[in-house]
Amino acid sequence: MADVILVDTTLRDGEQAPGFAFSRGLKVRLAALLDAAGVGQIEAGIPAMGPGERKTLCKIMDVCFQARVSTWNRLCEADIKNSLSCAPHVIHVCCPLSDRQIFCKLRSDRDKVMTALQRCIELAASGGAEVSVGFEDVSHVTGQQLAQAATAAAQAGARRIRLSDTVGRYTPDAVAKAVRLVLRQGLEAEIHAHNDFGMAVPNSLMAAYAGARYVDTTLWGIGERAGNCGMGAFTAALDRLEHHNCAVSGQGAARLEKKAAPFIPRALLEAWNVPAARTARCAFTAS
Amino acid sequence: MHTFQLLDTTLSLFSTAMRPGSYRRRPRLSREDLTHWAVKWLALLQDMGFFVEIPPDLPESLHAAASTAATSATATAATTATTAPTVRKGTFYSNQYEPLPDAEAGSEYITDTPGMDAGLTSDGQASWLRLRGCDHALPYTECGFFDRLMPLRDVLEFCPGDQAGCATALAVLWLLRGGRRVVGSIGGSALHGPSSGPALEEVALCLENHEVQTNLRNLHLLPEAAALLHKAGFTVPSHKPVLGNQIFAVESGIHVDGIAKNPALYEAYAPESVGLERSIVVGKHSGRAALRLKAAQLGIDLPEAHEGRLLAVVQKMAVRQQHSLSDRQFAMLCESITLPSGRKQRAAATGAKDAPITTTVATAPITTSVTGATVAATSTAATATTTATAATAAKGVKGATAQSEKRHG
Repeated sequence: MADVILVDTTLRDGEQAPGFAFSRGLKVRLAALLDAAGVGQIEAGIPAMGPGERKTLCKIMDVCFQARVSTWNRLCEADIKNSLSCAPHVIHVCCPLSDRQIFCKLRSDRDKVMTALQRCIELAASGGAEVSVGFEDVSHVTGQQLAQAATAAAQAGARRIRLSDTVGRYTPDAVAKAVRLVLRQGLEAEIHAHNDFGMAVPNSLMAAYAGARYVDTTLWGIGERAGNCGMGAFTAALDRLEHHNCAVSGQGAARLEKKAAPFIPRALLEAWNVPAARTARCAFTAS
Repeated sequence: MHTFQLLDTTLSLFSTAMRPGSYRRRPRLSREDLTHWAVKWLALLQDMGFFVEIPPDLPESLHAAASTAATSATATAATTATTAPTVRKGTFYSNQYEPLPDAEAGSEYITDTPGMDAGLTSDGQASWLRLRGCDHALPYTECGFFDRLMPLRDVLEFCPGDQAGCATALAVLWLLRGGRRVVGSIGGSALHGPSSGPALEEVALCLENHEVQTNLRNLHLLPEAAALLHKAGFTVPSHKPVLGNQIFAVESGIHVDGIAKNPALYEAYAPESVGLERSIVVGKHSGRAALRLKAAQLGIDLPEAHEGRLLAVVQKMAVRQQHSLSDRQFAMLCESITLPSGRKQRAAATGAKDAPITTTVATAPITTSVTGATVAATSTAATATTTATAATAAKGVKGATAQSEKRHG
């Protein structure tokens, strides 16, 4: 049985969902809960957002016992320098990869993006942190482009590729194919699925079956638009299908979501179909 | 080239739930209401191109000439549903388009709906075998799960269960690999529980996204289906894929910016295609562009000099209330930020017309009790001769507005 390591991105992608605004104290507290539940990596935030965010990051690193803390960076060296000043365990660089992202958003071309990516990876790796590279909008990328980008990233020193399905249009077949392609380059694979077609959980499951060790989740599945892969839903499904182990069991994730719910305004969670918590007390009594 | 068929079973689920002793969630409708509801539902879904399964106990009111004998016979068969992967003879429901094998029992249910295209009835299909369950089939889809079913694809309708959250994916894979027909319901397991099959609207959109030709049209009517479901007591969560009314709300600065440049970069399907619209939420992650857009939407004139200050105040307020700002809160902040900071106190201190305070109150409609309080406060401010009383009154106004904010936030 293979192991799946959960990467929780509630504090980064989850918080970007409209409506949510986590204070520093809340972020630290959520991180402590996630750490206690057995989440392997916590994506804690974006250091480039400012000194306040960096302070939050350092506090999160203080409260985590076993979970590794990662930071999210755009594809620019200034962002990564900000990250290095926080000294996280993992530095994540997000690199747009599809044609439409490169041409429409960055107004650049593929070669330039690849050289920028290699420079960023080398800079990030210079601090001794593990570097993971996220390929944004990877569901609109051909296999050849993905293989080329993965090779470039591997040469520069990245160890892990995150397949970031920004608009959630992957089908399980395509996910499995992409994951195998990344594994063939000698890299570890990570899946970041969105729920626009209600397929975040099956896509993440399929990636795990194809050999991805890392799976991105958020509490209650919060996130942009229809959300991300929900931690409770994913772990419950993983338990049911009985092929993989995970440090967080389905019950554990359900307990965690229940514990964390009273910290969030009720109206926000109702929009995400979270059943009402019975008492607010249970959040504070259990450690 | 065949077209895909998506069969909706909401009416059957409802009529099963209405039976005594059913474990299903009951719609908040009486028997007669359910019939009216069913008529509307049928028309709406047919308009969009979905197939609708009509349960045997509804047509008697839907179509007056229904016989009770046939109803009971078909009803008993329909109740035995298992989650285990089973293949059973699927003659237990009557579809609009396919005649039942038992001609005299089924003939009552076949309606001649005008506007139905002949292509659907001409396939000569007498009955379908319904494959239910298969909740755990996802790992096996890569090692020939569907291949073994393919010989049956012209008679097999697939209704995967959602115990493991994979129903939509299984349905999509089945159709993409050559299956013909999927059974599910609008809203899927989020509304009807995991045994109700995949959410058809997700399957439909996913097929369209992969440029597979479906015979679906008018998908912008989906919010009407959600409204009908709400009327029956089944509220769609606002972030449910495809159906939720909040899925196109954006807050974070990058996304507002990206969507202004090219909406397709961050949206899997256009909001218009499913009858929704984008909205901008102002909150902790908003950038200047978002503030400018929102102010323009609300018809507020926001001078550029104040944007930076407004952004800081917005972020602070959002974090303090752990929630994004409502439209009214944003409007009030805009009002207060455009006033130079010194002028407010000076106006209150002199008590002359106390213009800034009254404008704030006038533009923001607050509850009657609070308005009463502010009116009282302003009147005291107007009548007061000493500066001290005016200042305390102004404080009172501030406190009252802040209170109302808290309550409405």
